[in-house]
Amino acid sequence: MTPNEARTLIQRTLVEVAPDTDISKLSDDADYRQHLELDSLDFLLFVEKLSAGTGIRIEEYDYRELLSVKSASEFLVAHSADTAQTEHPASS
Amino acid sequence: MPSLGADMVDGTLVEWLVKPGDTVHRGDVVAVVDTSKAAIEVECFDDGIVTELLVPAGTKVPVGTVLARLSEEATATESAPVDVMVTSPLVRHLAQERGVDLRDVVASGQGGVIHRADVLAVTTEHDSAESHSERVKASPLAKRMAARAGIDLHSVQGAAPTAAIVAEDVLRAQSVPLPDVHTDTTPAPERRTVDGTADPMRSSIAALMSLSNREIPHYYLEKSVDMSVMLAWLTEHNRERPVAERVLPAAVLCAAVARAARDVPQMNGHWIDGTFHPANAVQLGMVVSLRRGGIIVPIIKDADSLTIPEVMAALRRVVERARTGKLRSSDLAPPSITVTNLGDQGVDSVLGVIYPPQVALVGTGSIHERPWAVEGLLGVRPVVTLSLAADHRASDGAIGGRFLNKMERILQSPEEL
Repeated sequence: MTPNEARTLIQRTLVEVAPDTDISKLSDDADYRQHLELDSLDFLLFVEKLSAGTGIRIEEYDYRELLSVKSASEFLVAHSADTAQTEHPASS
Repeated sequence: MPSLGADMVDGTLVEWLVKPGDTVHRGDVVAVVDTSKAAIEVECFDDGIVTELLVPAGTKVPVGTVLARLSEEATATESAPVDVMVTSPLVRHLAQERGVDLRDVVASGQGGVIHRADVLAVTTEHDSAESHSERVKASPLAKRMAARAGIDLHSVQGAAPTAAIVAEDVLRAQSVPLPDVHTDTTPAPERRTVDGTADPMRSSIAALMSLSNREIPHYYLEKSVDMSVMLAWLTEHNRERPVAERVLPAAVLCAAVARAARDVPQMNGHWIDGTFHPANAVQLGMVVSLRRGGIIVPIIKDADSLTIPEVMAALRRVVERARTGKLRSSDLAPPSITVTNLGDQGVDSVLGVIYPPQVALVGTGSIHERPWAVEGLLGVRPVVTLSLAADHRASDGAIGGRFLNKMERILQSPEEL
């Protein structure tokens, strides 16, 4: 997964979780839980969708890396490489 | 028209999903109704065959109106009204509020069931003939319309100061709907939308909360609780589990409220006709804030008998339905106690307003790390502040204190939940 793909996926997932919110003004560093007023249930749904969309296992202790678009896309890029290696060891 | 929340006066039938001749079963979604807050899928309360749809789509009718008739398959000639979901405690509450003796009310329901509209019909007579010294001159049609819309005729302006109020005046008053469900003349606060019309969501919240503040002598208690044992238990429980099965602290707090309400029954029930009526099980109302503004209060049914993962699943289900506008009528059955969780908004505690005719509202704040002294030693612990707003007519502070202490014990022994 490229950083751009990760970014697009995160933004799309945020819109799914919080429809009617404007993410165009959301900066890459902003904590989107505050910015989009996500509660803990919204955030859980967000994590669930990200995990399902990428096949990446996300534990509770990983949540702190998922709080801004920038850190979350770095997390997804780093871990999608792991997933690819474990799933297709021959192709890497 | 079922009552879909304590603040609902009327509803618009948006769509029928069945037609005469269809066989329906208990729990089937038969219609979609729009309240001031959301579109709700109305479920059938019984098995049978639809014989007649009485309210056409697009019509606004008061709570208690018969929407359709069903015939039982065995006795095809007998029909039963579809609105037995009307909650008699609320109707009785309305009657009490308006000073109406239920024995004077002509019941329109089958088997002598009194509906809200019946009570309202009597109140109009009261209003115009007795309770007010100054009699309002109004046409019979205007009176009926005002009663249906829950409008006090005293608040309606006629074409001239001495002219009788006619239907047109009521219609004009309705276009700025005053949520006047009480005989009291204090106008409820309203928020206007930008274009100057009243926001129906705000109006219905305003009406109910004003009623609560006028009628219920609230008392408030707070208690800070160490959540370290609970959070450790949750981390352990959630480890290695797929995201969909993970449990949030909010669910644990809800489960604790439900258990404590079962153990301290004075907090779980309704204040009706000057007496407290305890509920048999805990129908836990959850205040859900909607993204477009406003709140809605769906229930977790029989929450006191659910495990923590079951409460979590129920919580996810109702919140998702509330936010996607797919609530069902059974989600909006009357709660026996309500919880509001503002922890995610970062507030420390919430001193709430009780939803009448309930007698208690529990608030939970955010879980923060705080300095915490235990046996002469100072440490840092995750702490939550629980609050209780309770009706002093139904209970005293000592009982409320027992409730919060019970919650604390439950939160400190999660393995027992």
